[in-house]
Amino acid sequence: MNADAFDFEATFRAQYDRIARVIARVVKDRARAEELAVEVFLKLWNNPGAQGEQAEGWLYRTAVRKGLDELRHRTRRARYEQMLGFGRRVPTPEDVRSAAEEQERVRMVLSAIDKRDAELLVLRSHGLSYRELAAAMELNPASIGTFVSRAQNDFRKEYVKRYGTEE
Amino acid sequence: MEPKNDWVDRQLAKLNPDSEWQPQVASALTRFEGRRVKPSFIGAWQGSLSLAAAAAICIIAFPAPRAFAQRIISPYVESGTALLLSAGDIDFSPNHIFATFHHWLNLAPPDDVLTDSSGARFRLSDYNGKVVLLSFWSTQCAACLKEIPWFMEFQSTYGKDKFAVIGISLDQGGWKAVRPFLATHNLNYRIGVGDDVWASQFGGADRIPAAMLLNRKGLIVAKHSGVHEKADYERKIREAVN
Repeated sequence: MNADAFDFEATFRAQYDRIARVIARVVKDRARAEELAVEVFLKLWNNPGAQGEQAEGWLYRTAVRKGLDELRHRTRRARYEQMLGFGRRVPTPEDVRSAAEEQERVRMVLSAIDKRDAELLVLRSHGLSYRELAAAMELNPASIGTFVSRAQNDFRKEYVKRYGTEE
Repeated sequence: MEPKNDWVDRQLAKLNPDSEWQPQVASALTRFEGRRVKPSFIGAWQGSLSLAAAAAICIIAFPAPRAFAQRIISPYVESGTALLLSAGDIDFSPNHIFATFHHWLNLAPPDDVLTDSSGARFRLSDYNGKVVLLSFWSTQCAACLKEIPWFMEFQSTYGKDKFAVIGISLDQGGWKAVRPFLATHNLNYRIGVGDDVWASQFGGADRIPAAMLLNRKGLIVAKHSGVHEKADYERKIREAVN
């Protein structure tokens, strides 16, 4: 790769692991998460305006959006396939295990709530500080606490609406 | 009662990837490099539209291309007519209707001569009478590599007389990219090499992994792109084989 002022390869090597992990929180399949992570960097490559000091925040924002788009796409496709008689598979032992079911619930709620709320919650659970969250989401740092709190409330409401209880 | 924020944080923590998983930076960089030089999405669409317009003009203006197009389309017109006439045999289950409708949306499976890794030539029509799982994959696609052991298992379980897996690599490097992979991975099913233009004859493999299930008559009865569950594949194969 060309060694510009913005060192793309160094950024790739430094950030790929984190970006893949953010996506993997949302997209169950690890291999698919890695494919999407590569697509995020391809997008960065084709977007010179994002290559600079703000690249890390841009990467996080783009990654979480890609992951959530994939989750929503799969949710829609699963509904469509069920409607046509496809996708009615026999539950595997992994499915009936409680932990997998709980993860699936969390993903379903994330796919249903407001996009920005879902992005905030995923990035926060990934360990980003409020300052990093504000940079990634291009929000006012002074207001980030309010945004996060609102997102958490929306998550809780949607969860209870779907599953009837918090546990 | 648990503070609200803690409860939400606990739910989201359930999505933490396990610490044993290590994303593969080096192979990801290689895949990135391979994809970086591909034409842009918009450029590909513009090119495709231009080609389509040129093809339409050729077909309309010149007798030879018109005759060729008629030859390609007429079997489907005949099949469609036969389908309508044999109303009593039509399966109106949602699966069949979807598959039939889906088939009409796609061009006929091409019957070009392909070459496998041993140099032997074959066509898809050689497999008429068998159910075929046609897999579009690439050595650079991690999700595709995950499916390979499944397909080998399907080939062992359902293969021989009734079923076959055929893997068509869409690697940009062609056999140069695929042969080294095959040398270290002992696949038990046939591998050929294609490209996006060839795959577009099936309705396209816009995202890989992509797979199609062909019934014994060589018609596409199921098609998907992206990661799929092994059990879904197996259920469809069993339905088609039995």
